[in-house]
Amino acid sequence: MTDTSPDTTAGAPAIRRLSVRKHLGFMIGAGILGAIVLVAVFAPLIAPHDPYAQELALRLKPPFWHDGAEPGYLLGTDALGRDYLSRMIYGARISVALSFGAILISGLIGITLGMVAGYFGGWVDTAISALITTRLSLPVVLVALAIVSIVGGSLTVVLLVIGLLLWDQFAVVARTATMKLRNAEYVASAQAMGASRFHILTAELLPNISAPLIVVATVEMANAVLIEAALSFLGLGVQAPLPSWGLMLSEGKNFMFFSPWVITLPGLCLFFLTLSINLLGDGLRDILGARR
Amino acid sequence: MTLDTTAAAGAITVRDLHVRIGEVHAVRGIDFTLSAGRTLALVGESGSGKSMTALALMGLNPPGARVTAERLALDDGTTPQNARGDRIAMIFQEPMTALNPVFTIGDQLCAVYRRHRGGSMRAARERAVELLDRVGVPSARTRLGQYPHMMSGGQRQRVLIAMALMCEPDFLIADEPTTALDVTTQVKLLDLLAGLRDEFGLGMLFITHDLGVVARIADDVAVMKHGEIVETGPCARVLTAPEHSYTRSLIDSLPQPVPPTAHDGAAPVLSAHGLGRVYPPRGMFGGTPFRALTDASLSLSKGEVLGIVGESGCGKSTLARILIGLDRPTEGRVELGGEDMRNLPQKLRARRIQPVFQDPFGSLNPSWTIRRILDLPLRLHTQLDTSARKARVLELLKDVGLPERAAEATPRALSGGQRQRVAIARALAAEPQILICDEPTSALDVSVQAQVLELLRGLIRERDLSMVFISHDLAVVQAICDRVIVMDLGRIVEESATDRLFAAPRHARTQALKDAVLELPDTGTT
Repeated sequence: MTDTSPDTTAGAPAIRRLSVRKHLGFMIGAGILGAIVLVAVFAPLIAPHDPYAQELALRLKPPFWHDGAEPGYLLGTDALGRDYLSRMIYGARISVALSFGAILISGLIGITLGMVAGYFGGWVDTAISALITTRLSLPVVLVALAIVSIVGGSLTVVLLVIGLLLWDQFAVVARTATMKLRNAEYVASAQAMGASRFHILTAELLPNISAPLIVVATVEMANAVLIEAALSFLGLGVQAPLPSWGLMLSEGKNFMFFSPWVITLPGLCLFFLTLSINLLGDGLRDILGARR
Repeated sequence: MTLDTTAAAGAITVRDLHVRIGEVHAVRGIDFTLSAGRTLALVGESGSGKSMTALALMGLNPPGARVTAERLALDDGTTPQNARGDRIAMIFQEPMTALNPVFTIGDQLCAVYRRHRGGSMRAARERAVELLDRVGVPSARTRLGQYPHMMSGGQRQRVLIAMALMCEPDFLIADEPTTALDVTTQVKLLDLLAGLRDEFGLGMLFITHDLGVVARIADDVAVMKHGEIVETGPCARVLTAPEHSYTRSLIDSLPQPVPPTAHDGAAPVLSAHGLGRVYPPRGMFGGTPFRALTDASLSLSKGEVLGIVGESGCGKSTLARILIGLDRPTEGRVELGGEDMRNLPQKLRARRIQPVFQDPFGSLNPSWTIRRILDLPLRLHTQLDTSARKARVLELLKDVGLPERAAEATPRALSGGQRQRVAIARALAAEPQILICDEPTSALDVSVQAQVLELLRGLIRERDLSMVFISHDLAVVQAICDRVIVMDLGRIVEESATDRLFAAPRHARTQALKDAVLELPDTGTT
C-alpha cells in the first residue's frame, strides 16, 4: 500500500450508529409482526378447531375468564358456534397475505413509475407526475368501495384493488430519490461504460434509494390491513365464511352489547398488527437513516 | 472611512489544547499564540485536526466533542464563547452554503451587527455598505437587497468577509476560505485578506492545505499532522528550510513540471471538429438558450496527454462530457480513430474511451463492493468467465497499488485517494485507448495527489494510453501534460506545448491563470 492518507472516516466525527438490537421500538414491532406471521403460516397446526365448523348448541360462549366458558373453546365461540380462537388464527392468514400481496403489487407499480419519471425527466416525468396527481386526488376507500360493489367482493378482488390504489407514495418517493441520484458520477460512469438503462435503474440506482422505500412499504402495509378491514366490515370485502378480522368485527356488531369479546378480540388483533408494522417502519427509518 | 483602525493589540493564547470526539483524539495537545496584525497559517492534510482547532478557537464544537486546554483565552481572560462573533470572527470554506439562502445579504450582514452592537437598522446598513465597498463588492447599496444565489462564489466569499468584519473583530479565523474558488479569484481574495489584516491590525488564523497559499499570505506557519503540531516557525524559514521530515514531504509532494513529449505527425486517436453545445432555455415561457461551448476543435495523438485548463464555467466539463459520449454536441462532431462517434455503438465507444471523475466520493456506487464495481466493465466488455474475472479484478487492484483485500470492501471504507485508485482501475478494466480525466486529483490531499499523478503517468507509459486531462490547476497540468488547451467562455483561446505555453502565454486568460499560480519561495536547491 502506497496510499498513506488517513482514512477519511476516522477523522470525521464518529456518528453513533444505531444498531438494530438497541432500537426498542424496532425490536417490539419485529417481535409482534414475526409472531403474527408465524401464526398465519402455521395456522392449521396451531388452531384447536376447524374455523368453519359450526356447533349451534355452543353459540356465543364467552372466553375462559368469564363464567360459563366452555372447556376447549379458549376464546369462546361466535354467533354460529364457531371456535373464536381458530377463526382469529386463520384471520391472521388473510391479513398477512393481503398486506404483503398488496404491497408487492403497489410497490412494483409505484417504484417503476417513480424511477422512470425521475430518471428520464422531461415529458415522461410530466406524464407520470400527472398520473400520480390523478391517483392522489382519488379517495382510496371510496374508489375501493365503488369497484368492489360493481365487481363483487372476494379476497382476490380486494387484493388487486388495494394493490392498484396504494402505489402513489412509492412513486413520489422513488421519483424524488432517483432525481437526486441520477446525476451522480457513478451513474455517469456506468453510462460511459455502456451499461444499459435497465442496469442503471435496477442495479445502480435501486439499491441506493431502497431505504426510504422500505419505510414507505411499512406505512402502506398498515394502510392495506386497515382498508381490507374497513371493506370487509362494510360487507364489501372478503366474503363469509372466510375468517377475516374485519368481517368478524362486522359479524359481531349485533352482539356487542351482551358479548363484547366478539368485537374486542379481532379489534385487538388489528390494533397489534398495525402497531407492530408502524413500529417496525419507524425503527427502520431510524436505523437506515443513520447509516446514510 | 469611519472604521475603527485602532483595534486593541493582543493575542489569543492556546496551551495544551485537546479535542476528543468519541474515540477519536483529533487534536493532541497543541500550543500556539495568535498575535494581532500577524497571520498564522495552520497547514495539514485532511484529518490532521486543523479544522477542529479552528472550531475550538471559536468555541463552536461539534456535538459530542470534548475540548480541554490549559489555557484557551484572549489576553484579558475572555473565553472564545464570549468573544465569538464580536471579537473573534470566522470565515468558512464553502461560500455556497455559509449564507442563508432565504434572507437578503443586507439582512444577514445587519443581524450580526445588531446582535452585538445594537443600534438602529440604518446605522447597521451604513456600516454594511461601507464594508461591502471595502471588500470589493461592486454597487454595494443595491447588493444589500439581493439574495445569495444572485451572486458568484467569489462575491459571496467577499460578503462573508464583510460579515466577519461587521463588529470590528480583533481576530479572524479563516478555514480554507479560498479552496472552493477559482484560482484567479483565490489570488484576489488572498490579497484582500492581507490588506484587511494590515489595515485593521487583525490577528488571522489561516487554515489551508495548500503551501502556495501559505507562501502568499502567512507570517508564521504551524504544520499539523495527526492532531499534533510537528513544526512551527516563520513562513519563509519553514518553506525554504523545513526541519521536520513531514514538512519536507509536503513540499516535495507539490507537482513538479516535467518536460513534455512531442507527438506530432501521428494519426489522431480522438479528434473534435467545431463542437458546440447550446442548452435550450429552461421553463415553460421561453428565456434565452445557454451556449456552453463554441467551435471547439482538438486532436489527441496516441500516447499523448492533452491538458484542458480554464476556470469554472469555461465549458471544459461540457467538452469532457461530449468527448466521453455522455452528452451530444449541437454542432460539430467527434471522431474516434477516424470514425464519427455518432455512428459507433455505445459499447464499442465505451471499450475505447473511459472517464475518471473528480469526486472520489460520488463516482463509486456506495452500495456495491469494490469487486462488484470492477467486475461490471469486465462483464460488459469481455468474454471472461466468473473465475477469470475474479482474477482480473485482483490484477487491476494490483495495477493501481491497492491490496487484494480492498476487493471485499465498500467505497465507504476507503480513503479519498484509494477511491480514486478504484475509479482509475474501473476505467482501465475494459482496456480503453483513451482516458478522459475530469479534475481527477483536485479533491485529494497534495501527497495523495502526487501519488495519483505518478500512477497515471506510469499507466500511460506502460499501456501506451492517450489522455485528456482537465484541470483548473496549472501546476498539476505542468506535471503531466504534453500539450495544453486553454478555455475561456466556452471557446478554446490558446493551444500549445506545455513548456511553451508557460514560457510565453499569448492570451490574456492564460496570463491570468499563470499569474494565479502560487509559488513557494525559491529554496535555491532546485
